[in-house]
Amino acid sequence: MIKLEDVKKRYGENEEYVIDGLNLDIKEGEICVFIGPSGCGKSTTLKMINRMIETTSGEIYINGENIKDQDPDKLRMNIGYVIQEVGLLPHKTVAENIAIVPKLFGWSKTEIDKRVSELLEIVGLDPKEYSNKYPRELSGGQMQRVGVIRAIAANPTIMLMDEPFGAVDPIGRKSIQDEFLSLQKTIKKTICFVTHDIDEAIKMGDKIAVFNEKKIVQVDTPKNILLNPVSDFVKEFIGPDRINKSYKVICAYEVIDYLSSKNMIEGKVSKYILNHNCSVAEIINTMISNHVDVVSIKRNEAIIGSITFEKLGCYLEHLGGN
Amino acid sequence: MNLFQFFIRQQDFVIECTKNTFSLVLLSLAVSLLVWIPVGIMISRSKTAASIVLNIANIIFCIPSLALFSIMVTIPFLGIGRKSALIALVLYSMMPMLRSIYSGLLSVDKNVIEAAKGMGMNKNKIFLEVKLPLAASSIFSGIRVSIIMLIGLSTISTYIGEKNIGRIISSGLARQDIEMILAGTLLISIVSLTADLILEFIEKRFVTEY
Repeated sequence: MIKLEDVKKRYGENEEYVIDGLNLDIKEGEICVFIGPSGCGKSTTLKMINRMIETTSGEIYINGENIKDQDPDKLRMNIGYVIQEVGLLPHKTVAENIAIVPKLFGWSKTEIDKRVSELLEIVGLDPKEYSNKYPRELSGGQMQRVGVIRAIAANPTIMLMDEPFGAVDPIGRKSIQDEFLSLQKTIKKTICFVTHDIDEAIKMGDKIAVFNEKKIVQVDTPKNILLNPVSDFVKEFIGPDRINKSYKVICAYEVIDYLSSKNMIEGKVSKYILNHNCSVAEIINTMISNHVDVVSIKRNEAIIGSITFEKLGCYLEHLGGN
Repeated sequence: MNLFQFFIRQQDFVIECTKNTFSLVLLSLAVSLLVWIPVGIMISRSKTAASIVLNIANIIFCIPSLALFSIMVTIPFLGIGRKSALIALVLYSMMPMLRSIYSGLLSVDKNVIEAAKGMGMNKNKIFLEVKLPLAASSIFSGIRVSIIMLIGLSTISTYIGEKNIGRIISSGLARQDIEMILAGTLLISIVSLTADLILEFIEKRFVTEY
């Protein structure tokens, strides 16, 4: 869907490269998180995808088409763009802001009105109440929600999000992340998501690209990044509690698979039954809050096995050994 | 009471002077807008051009008005009369107008422009639909200052042949006619205050600050 080939960037003939040879492949419907210390080039890379910044060398393809062959304005109309500062036009109402790209595409007024109401409802803002408000009348979280739906108004297949929830307070951020993930389940956009918050990266990403020193040093699933960091830099960047963090991204069926392979699966069925795709963190929570040491896991209503606290410990030890 | 009688007695003279004040101010305002708005927009695109042009405007603005009006007269083809007055007034409005247009356009939130560009709006659309509306309040306040300034300065042009409200005051001074001096000052002050009130109303009613 999005393919970067040996992309380089420098701001002048004699300047040093700020991006030095990036290769990346992002599949359709995937959220790829760009993460790294500040100045590592993650934002610059994002902006090269919609040509807000031009590459110095290397190629970027979207759906197999080289972005250099497209008109920059047309290209951007087809890519949703969300920035940390939101950038709602202060002199236009919420509805007018959402209508910007559909208008550029020349949609009719009825089509636009219908789409605006539909989008406002998706993020839980009553169209009657909010359509005619100005951005200054919204809270930070509401502004960011409007920023997100404005970006998907004309149904782009790709979205670029530059620290989109960075300015929202921590509590608001959690709920806007959850909302966005559930929205993503229905819209299935291909998304590049820049953040410097490793927890956000783990939560949002199907895939994480870790940037350092002008390059991507590791691209992998959140789980593999946490459990198999390729270098000391990645290890350090994720932080010392990486194994704990991985509990949130490891699913119950992975534990069952491992235990089955070691013949450690528990036979007895617990009255606490969880779904096969719930996380290890949820298993531990269930055990602790109910004072039990065994939970059963079901897949499609059939129990596929039970996990005891002790066996879970064996599995986690095996992870830590990696 | 005497003042009132003066206006009755000198009705034709007062009306002619007032008319001339209005026509000169309106003419110089029109020319200023026509010239300085495009220049202001152009310099907002280049920092070096802006600093050169704004410095020139500043220097002109610092020349005392009587001196600037008089210099105009010495320039061939201008001489005594409206042309000189007009050019001097347009030059004076250069500073307040350019500065407000320039700073208004430059103070538009960079993030808003980035978002607009990122959505695929082209340069012209961004200028017309984003920058200009957001700079409008700053531009308008520059125009408002210029208008009040033009009204005040127009009186000085009486010394280079304009027969306007300034003439009532200067004649009064020459004749040591206190009534005449008072009548002139009162009239120009009323014109200036009224203009300011109207402009304030327009600003509050139609121009929003973001």
